[in-house]
Amino acid sequence: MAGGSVSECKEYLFKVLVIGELGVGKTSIIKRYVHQLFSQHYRATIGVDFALKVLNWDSKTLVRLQLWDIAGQERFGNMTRVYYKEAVGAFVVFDVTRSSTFEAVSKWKHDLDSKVKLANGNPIPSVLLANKCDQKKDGSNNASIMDNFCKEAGFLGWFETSAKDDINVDEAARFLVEHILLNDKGVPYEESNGDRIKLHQEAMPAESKSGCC
Amino acid sequence: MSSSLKRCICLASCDLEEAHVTCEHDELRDGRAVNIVISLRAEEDGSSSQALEMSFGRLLRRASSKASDLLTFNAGSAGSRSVQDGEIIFSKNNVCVHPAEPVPGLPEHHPGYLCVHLEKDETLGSTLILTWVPNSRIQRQDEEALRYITPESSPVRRNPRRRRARLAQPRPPPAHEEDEDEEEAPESGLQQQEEGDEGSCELSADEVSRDSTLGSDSDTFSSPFCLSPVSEALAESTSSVFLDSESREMCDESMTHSASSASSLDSHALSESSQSQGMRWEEQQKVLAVEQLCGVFRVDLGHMRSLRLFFSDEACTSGQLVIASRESQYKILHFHHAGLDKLAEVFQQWKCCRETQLKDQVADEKSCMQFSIRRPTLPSTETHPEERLYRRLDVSSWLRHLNHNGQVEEEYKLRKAIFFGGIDPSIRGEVWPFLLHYYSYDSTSEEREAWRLQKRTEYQEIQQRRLSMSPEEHSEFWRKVQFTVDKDVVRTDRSNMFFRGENNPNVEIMRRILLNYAVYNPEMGYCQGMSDLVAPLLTEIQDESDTFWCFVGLMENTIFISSPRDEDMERQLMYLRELLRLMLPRFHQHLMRLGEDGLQLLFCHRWVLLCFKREFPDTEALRMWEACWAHYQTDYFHLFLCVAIIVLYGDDVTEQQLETDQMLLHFSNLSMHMNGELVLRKARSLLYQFRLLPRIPCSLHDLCKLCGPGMWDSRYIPAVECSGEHPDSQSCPYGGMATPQPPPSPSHPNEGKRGSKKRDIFNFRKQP
Repeated sequence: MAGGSVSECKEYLFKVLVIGELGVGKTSIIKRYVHQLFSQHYRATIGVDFALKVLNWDSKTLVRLQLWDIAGQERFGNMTRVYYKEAVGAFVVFDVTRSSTFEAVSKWKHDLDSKVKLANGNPIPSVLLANKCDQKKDGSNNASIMDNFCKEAGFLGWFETSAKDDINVDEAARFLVEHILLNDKGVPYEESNGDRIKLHQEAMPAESKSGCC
Repeated sequence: MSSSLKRCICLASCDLEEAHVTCEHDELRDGRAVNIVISLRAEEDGSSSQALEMSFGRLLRRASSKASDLLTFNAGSAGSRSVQDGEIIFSKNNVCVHPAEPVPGLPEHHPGYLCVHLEKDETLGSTLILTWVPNSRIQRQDEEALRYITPESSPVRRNPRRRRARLAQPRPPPAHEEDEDEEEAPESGLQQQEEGDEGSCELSADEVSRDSTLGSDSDTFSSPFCLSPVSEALAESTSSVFLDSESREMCDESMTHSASSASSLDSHALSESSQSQGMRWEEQQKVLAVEQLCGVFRVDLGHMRSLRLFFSDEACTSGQLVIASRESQYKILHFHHAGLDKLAEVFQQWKCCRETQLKDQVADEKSCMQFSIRRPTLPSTETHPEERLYRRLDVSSWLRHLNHNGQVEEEYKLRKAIFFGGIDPSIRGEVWPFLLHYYSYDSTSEEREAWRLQKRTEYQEIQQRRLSMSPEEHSEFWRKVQFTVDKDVVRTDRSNMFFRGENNPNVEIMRRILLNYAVYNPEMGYCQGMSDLVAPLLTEIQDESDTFWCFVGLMENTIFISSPRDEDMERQLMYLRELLRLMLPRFHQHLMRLGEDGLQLLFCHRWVLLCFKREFPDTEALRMWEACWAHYQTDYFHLFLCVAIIVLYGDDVTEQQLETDQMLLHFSNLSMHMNGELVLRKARSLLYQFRLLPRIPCSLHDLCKLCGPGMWDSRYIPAVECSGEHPDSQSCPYGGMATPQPPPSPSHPNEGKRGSKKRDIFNFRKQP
């Protein structure tokens, strides 16, 4: 932890979901982000996988991101509720080379919003990732169309990413964490648990969704 | 078989009434075994029956010459003379086993040869090994069966090499070509030796904690279920003079009780499973019944709980011997032609056997004798007592399980061997199809070849159906199945040599199998994870059609399948929670503290779905698969493996009070870093501990349902305690009694006995 006196350092633990159709590259994005690795042959995720990324956000803030890698083919309806529980942010991923995975984005977003909410009842901040952009044929995804889609569907924004070529993965994560922190801003510091602030403290009306991009 | 053999056995049985075979020299004992073999062969060759009688005569001469030694083996206290390991101290022909229930097409009486021999035991000084071999096996010249009645322990233990050398000497040429059985004796000798060492370590550790407590595992018939075989045995002996009308009534009552409970269990089982599974269940039951009657029964009496003798004649020479294991299973041996009194004397002489009196017995009537086995210390439950008795099943030991038609001789024994020892990779492809119900155990080699051809055609028809879909059907199939399969097969086990490299044809075979399976079973279709399950099957079995059908068997018969339904998984988790509550209460309390999220046991979903394939390297994971498929003593061994992992690697969770997500992280970080052999061993000991519990919650009633009684007459049915959650019915469907007591903790096996005393219906009068 660089700089800053330890006593003043705030530590956050955020649970972030990564969801989307199977084979869109959820595991690859997480492996890229956490371990700076890429492989063509990550095995299908069964149930849920898990990775932890520690971010030195600024001199006074340490963020631990818990990335929940959730199987694309979720066979147990009931279980997803447990997987989603207490999440404070989400990536919904699709594969730019397969339009069907984009069509399924709304379904995933709807599922997400129906199963998890912020303490104030708002949907949790979520970001859309158009993955495998390294394989994109021409400019099939028009940026303005995407912006509109995000607005309508309730995404904070979208990024073209490539886990393979390491494009925009860090940026997307940074963008999401900013918004999660915004939701947290103004939350009175609650001592109790030592220096770790528990996930999503209660209350505090969230900032109105910043419709960036 | 032939009348001459029957005559011979009859003759032997007459003489053997008085015969207590004592062999001091292994040569004699071997000589005896060989004699029988020779005589049977002579008979097959059409020689006179004279040879038969002669050989038995020789045997009997030897037996009677040492009869006077019989009473000295205990001699009041240990060590008056050194125990002669392997001494046969009792033997008797035509001791019967009867089916617990009439089996259509099977006779009631199954006579066999009973023999009791001495073996050295680390804690008991000497123990008695009782072996019953069905005549049918002896008649078939089943060399393995004959080996059972020839104790091999002492010389082997002392000097395995010598034995090997001697066995290599020429022997009479076998009538049929037999498998290389010469290896068996030295091999098993070594195993016993290993086991002995192991046992002594375990027990000495155990002794420290238990100190001088005399751990007599004295016998209580704690469950009404347990009574049924015994009461049946009693009711059967209608000529008995000792049953007064009252006690007989009580027996009948208990019988009806157990019968009705049993039928309700069966109907429950049937309603739970599909029609085809129901059929399978019945078939399986028949196979199990035949097994129980026609298999070799062999136990170390030193590990039993009690021995009871019920006499059916005035002279107290005939009747039944009822052997009760510590796991509350029973075997009833019928002595129709006397000899039981001599066996009683043997038990009275054995220092580990303590005759127990039943309170209400009238002094002048001798109708029942009861012995409980007393041990200076109870064997440790930290290790399954049969651990290390079995080696990995290799080619030669596998061949010994097959008779000359290629049928598996004793399914139960095979499954048990696999459960403990696993299967050598070189023969997995051959043995797995049996475990996965593709081949039936009693099929002959020829039948299996025909079956394979038939199933190959069937497989091709399924494939044809897939390839001739209409465009609409195909596009739906592509969307629902093929797309996912295509995604998954290329990322399944690619580091395995068998699937390595670009355009590996085996990947395409795996793909076809999965696609065809989705056509064969459209309801199941394709679930992610199936590719993980099919890949090792293909690797070992290699043939496409065979692998397909084994996969079908895997999906139908194993319980850790990738079921697409919530309720299947929920049931698994419910069992697992209950097991944890029983066996690892500290961890369960932690889960309770975490509430619903903790109780969801997220961290073991994948364990259950893929049967640990992603948690352990293949070599270890496949051993676990085999152990689960063996259905030995439980149908849910995978859940015991889950508990074992938590026992071995879960201390941090409770010590640091990890939250749900941290717990998930903790266990997912452990994957591929755990010791699979250790986990397997622990799981086996947990199963053993579970089976020793005198009472289990009714929620775990089904844990040992399909696996069968093995060589015992009674299924494993401990007392059931209702845990009180049956929303659909008023009373507990398992007949469990609600009790205020906490469930017994497995670490104190005796504790559970408190309050579990039921009225003992065995209020027989007894000799003074």
